[in-house]
Amino acid sequence: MFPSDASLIARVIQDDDRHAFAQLVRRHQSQVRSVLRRLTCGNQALSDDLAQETFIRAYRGIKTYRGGGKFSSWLYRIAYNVFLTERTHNQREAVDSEPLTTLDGGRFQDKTTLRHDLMKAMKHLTEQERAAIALAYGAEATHEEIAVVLECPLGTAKSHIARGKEKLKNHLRAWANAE
Amino acid sequence: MPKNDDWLDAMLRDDDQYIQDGGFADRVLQALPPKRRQRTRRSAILLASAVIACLLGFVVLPGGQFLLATVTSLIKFGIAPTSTNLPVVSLAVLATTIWGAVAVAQSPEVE
Repeated sequence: MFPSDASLIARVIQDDDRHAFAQLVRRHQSQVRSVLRRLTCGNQALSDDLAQETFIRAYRGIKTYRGGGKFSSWLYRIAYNVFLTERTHNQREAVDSEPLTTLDGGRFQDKTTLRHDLMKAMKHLTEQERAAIALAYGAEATHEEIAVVLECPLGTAKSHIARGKEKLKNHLRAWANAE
Repeated sequence: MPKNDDWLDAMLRDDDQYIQDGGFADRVLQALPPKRRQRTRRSAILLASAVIACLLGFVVLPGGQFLLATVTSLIKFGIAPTSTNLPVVSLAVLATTIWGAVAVAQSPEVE
């Protein structure tokens, strides 16, 4: 039986148990990296650097985790802050005006192309919309969790998702009719 | 790809795949600050070294005479260890020592 997040966190706080923290990292790394990959529009190197920074900040501040909400939500909040900090220190990425690569001689290409087009379309979203979509689909977070992570009312979180999806639909319309 | 209104949901979910660790957790662990126990041990070693160095200096060098000569010269130059400046000087020396010890203890550990 796997130990719960709460027991692992307690071991990290009380004994500075690195083994317990490693278990927490292994348990949550995929979703945190997935969210950050969407936030960075598919930049794997950058998203992994930000994910590493997220877990280091989580380790340093683990005593401030109150246990009121899910540990994963707390991690996503840190990840989002790390992403925003990185954005303020670096220039905003240019929105790619290049057409999507959806069609290849009338046939749709593989999942790699789909992912490429999806990430390209994500660049047209605002940071909040992108974060809301990333959390909803990359981390399967609930609307309530998204509202907590983005520190906004529930209705606003839902609006971010709806607006983000509408923009993605417009940019990925060609995929809608794909076989 | 489905042709209904949920095609985007399907696309977004399809993109959501488990990311293998691939050494990520190990890289995170290597980047963590040194353990608290290691920091405490290092501080203790540093403090013990400083105390031993002081004692050795006091014994090897003519410590008592040196102290006496210093106090005498301070009095001669009018900087007598009065009740006002002695605590201030002592506190300054103590604060500098602690600051130095903390700075060394918090410096990145070379493993």
